[in-house]
Amino acid sequence: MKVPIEWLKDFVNINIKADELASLLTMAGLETSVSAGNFLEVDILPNRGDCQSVLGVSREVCAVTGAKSKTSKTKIKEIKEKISSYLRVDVRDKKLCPRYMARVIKNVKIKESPQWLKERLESCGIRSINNVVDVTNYILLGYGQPMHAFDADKLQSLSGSFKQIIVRRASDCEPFKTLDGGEHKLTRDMLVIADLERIVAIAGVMGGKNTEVSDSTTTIVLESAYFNPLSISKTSKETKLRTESSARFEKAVDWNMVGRALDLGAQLIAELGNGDVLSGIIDIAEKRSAPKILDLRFSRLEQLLGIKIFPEVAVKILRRLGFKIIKKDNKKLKVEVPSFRISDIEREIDLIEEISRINGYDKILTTMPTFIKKSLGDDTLDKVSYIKEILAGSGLYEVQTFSIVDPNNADGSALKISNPMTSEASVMRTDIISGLLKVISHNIRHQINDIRIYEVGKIFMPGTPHQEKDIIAGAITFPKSSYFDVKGIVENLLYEFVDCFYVSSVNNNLLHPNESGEIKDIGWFGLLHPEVSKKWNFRQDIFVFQLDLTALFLAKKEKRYSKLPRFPKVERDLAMFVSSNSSHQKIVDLIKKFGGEFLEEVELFDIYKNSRAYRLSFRDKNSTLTDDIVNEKFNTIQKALEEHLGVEIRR
Amino acid sequence: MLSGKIEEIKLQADSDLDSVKSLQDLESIRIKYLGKKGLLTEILKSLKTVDPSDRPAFGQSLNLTKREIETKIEEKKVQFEGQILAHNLSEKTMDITLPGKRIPRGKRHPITVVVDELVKIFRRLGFDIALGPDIETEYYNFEALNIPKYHPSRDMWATFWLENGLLLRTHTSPVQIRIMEKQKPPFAFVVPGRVYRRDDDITHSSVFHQLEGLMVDTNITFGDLKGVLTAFLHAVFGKNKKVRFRPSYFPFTEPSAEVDVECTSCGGKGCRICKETGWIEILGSGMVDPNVFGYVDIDPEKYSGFAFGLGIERIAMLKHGIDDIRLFYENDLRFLKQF
Repeated sequence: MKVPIEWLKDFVNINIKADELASLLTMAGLETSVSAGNFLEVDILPNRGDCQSVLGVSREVCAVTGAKSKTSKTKIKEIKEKISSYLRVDVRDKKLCPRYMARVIKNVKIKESPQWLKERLESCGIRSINNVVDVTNYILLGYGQPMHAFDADKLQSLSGSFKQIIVRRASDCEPFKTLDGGEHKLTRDMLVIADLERIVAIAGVMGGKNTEVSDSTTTIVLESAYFNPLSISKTSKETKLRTESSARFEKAVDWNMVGRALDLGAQLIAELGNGDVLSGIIDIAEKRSAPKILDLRFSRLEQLLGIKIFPEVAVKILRRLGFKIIKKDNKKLKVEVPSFRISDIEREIDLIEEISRINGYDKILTTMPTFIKKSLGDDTLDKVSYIKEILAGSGLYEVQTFSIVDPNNADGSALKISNPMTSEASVMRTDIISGLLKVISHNIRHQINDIRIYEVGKIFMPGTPHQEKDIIAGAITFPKSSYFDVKGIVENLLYEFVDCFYVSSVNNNLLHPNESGEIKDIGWFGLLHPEVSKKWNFRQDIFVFQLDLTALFLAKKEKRYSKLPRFPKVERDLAMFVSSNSSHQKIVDLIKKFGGEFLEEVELFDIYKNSRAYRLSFRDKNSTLTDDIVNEKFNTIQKALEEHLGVEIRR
Repeated sequence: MLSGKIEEIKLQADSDLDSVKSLQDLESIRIKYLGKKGLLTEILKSLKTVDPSDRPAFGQSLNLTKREIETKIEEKKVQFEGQILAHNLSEKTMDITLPGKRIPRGKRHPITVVVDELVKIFRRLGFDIALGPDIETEYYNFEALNIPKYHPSRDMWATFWLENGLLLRTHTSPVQIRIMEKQKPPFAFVVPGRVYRRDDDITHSSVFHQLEGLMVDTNITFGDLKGVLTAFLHAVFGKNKKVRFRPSYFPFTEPSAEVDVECTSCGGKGCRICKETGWIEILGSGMVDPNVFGYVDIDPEKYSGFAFGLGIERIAMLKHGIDDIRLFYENDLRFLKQF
């Protein structure tokens, strides 16, 4: 909010430089900077509705500088004619409108506002309209009380005698055209100001075209009210009308300012438009409960802040902020909350905050807690870190992609966002691969042809209840990349968790049906399906993998040491032509089955077309193996391979 | 007579050794004098012809000469080997600026790097890690954090709603409630995680990361909040950086404070990064509001605590001088390789 320093001086003496003042306010919770030398730009926190006016800011200035506020009494000149013979107000919903006040000004001449008024409004970014509307805005900015001026002649009369204002709820779908020309369909949760026949304003939000003050207006009904903050907030949201007025009502205006502002406004309108204020005031108000009295225990203050604040200091601060000290002893204070702070000062803790912020957070000594932990916490992050280390070692870069994705790239039943920003980002991802493909696509476009990436993150599985799954997904593509590159990455990772695993074929529409595999319960990997590849316009082969993080963590075994061998190993090379029904896995399984207790390792060391060469290592832990024993086993293995898998051993 | 012969051999050996030019020549000299059929060996063989009474003196003289020659040969050998080594070293040259053979290695995302770093610091300060779901209920994300429905402060968080009535958490703060529901104080946790805001602003990302913190015990004070967060900021930005605590408002803490650190770019003089204020806002924090304790059944008269939250991307941007938040999610490898 923009506050002209000149205007501020109407309410408080300022004897310090603007910069200094801004810094004091900032350190008391009103983030303030100086603009153009003579304006304060004040950032008002959501709980400080009371600061949304020059007067409100001036109260904070008093609190931080210790200056006295200037108070002035409003003298209002009234003519004989009584308001009661001209206007009647019927408040039909006192819950939504706890206080409604009005005055009537007759014989007003609508014209331009005087220069000083125009300047003040325009310096705050409000366009000057005429001497009546400008006054309502002036009171709003200056005192924080929104007002509305109706052209009284446009209000329907009660059989020609009285003007009638009815404060009621709208009926569902009741139409209304606001001052800005907007057409609205209202609901019965919304409070409106109406005459006998129609709505003339959305209460506290915006007036209507139908009763707008124009050049020909002569009689003004000036409204000043206290509307239910929650109701204004709802209405403003639902009608999408955020106005200066609603911004103040929704944070509660000062109950005691409603009447004072009305007098100020009526008097000023009368002065600027040569009008006559009718005698009397309409004030339909709920009984206000007794003033709010709160206790403040000095012990509590010290317990929370960690420093002692002397009672005299607390008293001084509270007084400066407008609180009344009702009672004081050496244990506690009893204070009365000023009317303009009723909505945000409700508890002892609120008083503690007030004292601490005005006293200054810098006065609170820095200490270190003496703290004894009771638990060890979650170690997921450590485990994930471990995985990230392994993958970095395999040459993969970690990426982070959005969890809100295009429905075209997700499961049909993916969780939908009801208020997405764009339709391309409107469902929760059901896999990470599409995010990775987007990254690959971006990098290829930028002439990068060696791409190896992965992401660890959540996917969101639809259902009731839905499920958040931690997974790890990767994608690689580079010149001559192959199935074996992606499988190698997966193996590097998996062998840190398990001793062995089996790969079976997989049915997954992201993967090529033959050049891909699945590891039961843990995940899958392989060549991206040509259809998917085509959709993304990839010209190169992309290889992807996805692993379930939780399953991987569960599979993790403690590592057991096995004694280092003391006797030499004996190696035998085994070359063969394989048939189409014998896979590497089958060959290895068979070799192991027939290899006997001394077979230590089977390693595939050469592969060319259908020719395979394996190196078999034999070792006896307790003695040096003889050739005879090894040869016998080796022969058994060769025979078994020929018999069971139909391979042709090359001897 | 034989002793004259020894003297003669010695002189001859000296002259041979003085003029020797290579390691091979040296070897032939050794063979010539000390070899199986060498001159000195031959004389030794003739020892038996010497008068027994002269033998000790003769033997001694012979050994002395032999040792002298051996020593000289050894000296020469060391000298030649040194020369050869020096020669070989100077012969073998290479362009040491040619690139090394690197084993391809990937990297962690800069956001992860920052999260890991921050978490490590908080662990040193006694905090544990807790995690929570991205999809939350209105209760955890708002109500239990003292943010009632239609309360104007809800505007602080532009929310994505799911069609099933749940929402995407707008901050990591709901995990505070989840922690406090499950256990009784004392505890101290930090919670890193993804959060979502429906912000149209291009300087914001609708998905980003936060780190939340919570410490509750008897007698935790605002002074402790200041102590822990100052220690943390000094660990991240350097011990010489000034830190200030400024009153602020969050529905779930009271008193609340924004924590600013002296501008990392201009050092407090005022620049574009700090909007001429000299300070950069890093953390939101405050003492846990008694109402929040009320929701989780912790006695606010007995226990007190503080909570804080910060944006990970913001820290990463400040630390590395990154000026566009979108770079984090574009994942251009030329960007990722820089961290």
